Amino acid sequence: MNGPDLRISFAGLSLKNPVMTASGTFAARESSEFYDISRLGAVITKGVAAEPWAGNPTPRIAETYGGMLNAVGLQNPGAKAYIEKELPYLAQYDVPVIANLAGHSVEEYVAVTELLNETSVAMYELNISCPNVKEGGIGFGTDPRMAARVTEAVKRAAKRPVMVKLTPNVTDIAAIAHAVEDAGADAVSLINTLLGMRIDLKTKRPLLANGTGGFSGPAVKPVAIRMVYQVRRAVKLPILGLGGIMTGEDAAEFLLAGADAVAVGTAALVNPTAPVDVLEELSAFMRREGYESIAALKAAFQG
Amino acid sequence: MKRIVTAKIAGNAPLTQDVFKLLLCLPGGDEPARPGQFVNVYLNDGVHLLPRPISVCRQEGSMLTLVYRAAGEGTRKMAALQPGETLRVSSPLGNGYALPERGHVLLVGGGVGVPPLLQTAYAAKAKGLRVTVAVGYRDALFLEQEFRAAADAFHFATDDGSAGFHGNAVQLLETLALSEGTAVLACGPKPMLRALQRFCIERALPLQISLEERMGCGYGACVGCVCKLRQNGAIVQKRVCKDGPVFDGSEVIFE
Repeated sequence: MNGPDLRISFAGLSLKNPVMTASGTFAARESSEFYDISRLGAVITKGVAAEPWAGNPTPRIAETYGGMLNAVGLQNPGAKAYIEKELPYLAQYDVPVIANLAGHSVEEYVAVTELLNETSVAMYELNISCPNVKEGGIGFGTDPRMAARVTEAVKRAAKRPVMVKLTPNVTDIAAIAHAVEDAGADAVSLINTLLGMRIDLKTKRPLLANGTGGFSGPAVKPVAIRMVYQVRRAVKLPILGLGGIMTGEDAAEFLLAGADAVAVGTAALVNPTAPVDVLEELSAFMRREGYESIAALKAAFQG
Repeated sequence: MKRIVTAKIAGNAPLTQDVFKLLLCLPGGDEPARPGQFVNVYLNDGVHLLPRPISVCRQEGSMLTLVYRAAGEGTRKMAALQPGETLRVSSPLGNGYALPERGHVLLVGGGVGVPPLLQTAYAAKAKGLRVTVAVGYRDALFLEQEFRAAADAFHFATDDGSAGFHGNAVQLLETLALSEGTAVLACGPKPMLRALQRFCIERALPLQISLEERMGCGYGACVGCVCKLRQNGAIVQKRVCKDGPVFDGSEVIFE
């Protein structure tokens, strides 16, 4: 028997499989030192803004049961460096590139979109859900009207499909998904990190210099599954599901909950080859269970 | 390609109350570690998900020696590992020290910054360099015999004065006669490195510093572990795990 057919169509992109890297946990040169990134369905690069951002002070990382906190704060070298250094390196690989876009204002989101319009980037992921930046980021993602406003503006400027990354730090994620669908989004990705905090018992200070940080890792998976399930019922948009995926079985769970594709994030920090390991395990799971396509697996959900 | 391998533990014994020496038998196939590189140690137990970056103390063929302090939960868990058990470790990571082609190197370390200087001492000797080691301990000594065997000269200090020079490694350096152009390679706590930076600037000695920072992935993907450098008048941020851990000592900004 041949392996299952993992090909999918996602918001107009034809992908060889549904497994992507999650933004902020993938770097082209560094990740490709551990595995062939051409094997993935797509790669989502780290948040990029029109101009360079310095990010937050260190320590930026803390550990916790079943996960971690990060407060990197979207440090990035800006669109110019991204276009001159990251994209040419990625061009040697047969993999679509999805650019995660960061901004402090609607104007900044539009500016980076326009800068990337003439590049090889296949899709945009609009990051309105980072909990670690004071302006922009999550400020847009927690209010349906703001989320719609920035989606609409970016969509108007964009020459590529626009996926909007949603934050779990809201009362009703389906309402936000609704708002961005109405504003013209081509897809949604969820979840970004949960806002968390830890305190050092020796120094009595927060472990992160930023005070709070984004909580991710296997511990957040049930929250993410629940939210994918809720959003699936609220919108028709393709969904990229992520949040705590460590194995192919975790990925299958997201697909059953209503995701059309999945992204591997924190697992790639815990194990550099996690994205391709998840892909292989998903394929093995489908073969074992007798599903010949992603659509067949998704259709098997009994919820 | 870089990879994560499963290594067999050949030994894991205390050198002091909280400093341990872990001997790992690697499956082979990776480039040997260069001096100043580190490996990521994966405990993968569901609680300690992130790797522990530990500097390479020594590599002889497939035998890797890591000397670490059991300072937190993760490293205390490492200390409980028994010979015969296995542990997942990465290929050697980071840039490592750049050894000069000839002349004299001075290796300066403090605390658990001392172990990577052993591999560095052996590599420097193999290159025909003259090697002086000057290190500072909190109280109890470790790796003393190894350094005496590897280096041309070994000097040490203790914070509590229980052995050797009473003081820190940089105060110890004030007592040594250093020849012009001596390359200084250092690893240790930030206060020591800051004092050493000043010491080397005053004497126009070229300095390389190995930095430590709380890491996420340990291979350059997450940008969790940045440090600040002054390069050509501008302040730039570099990843300790990937762009370092060794940086030009004259450029490092201590905050």
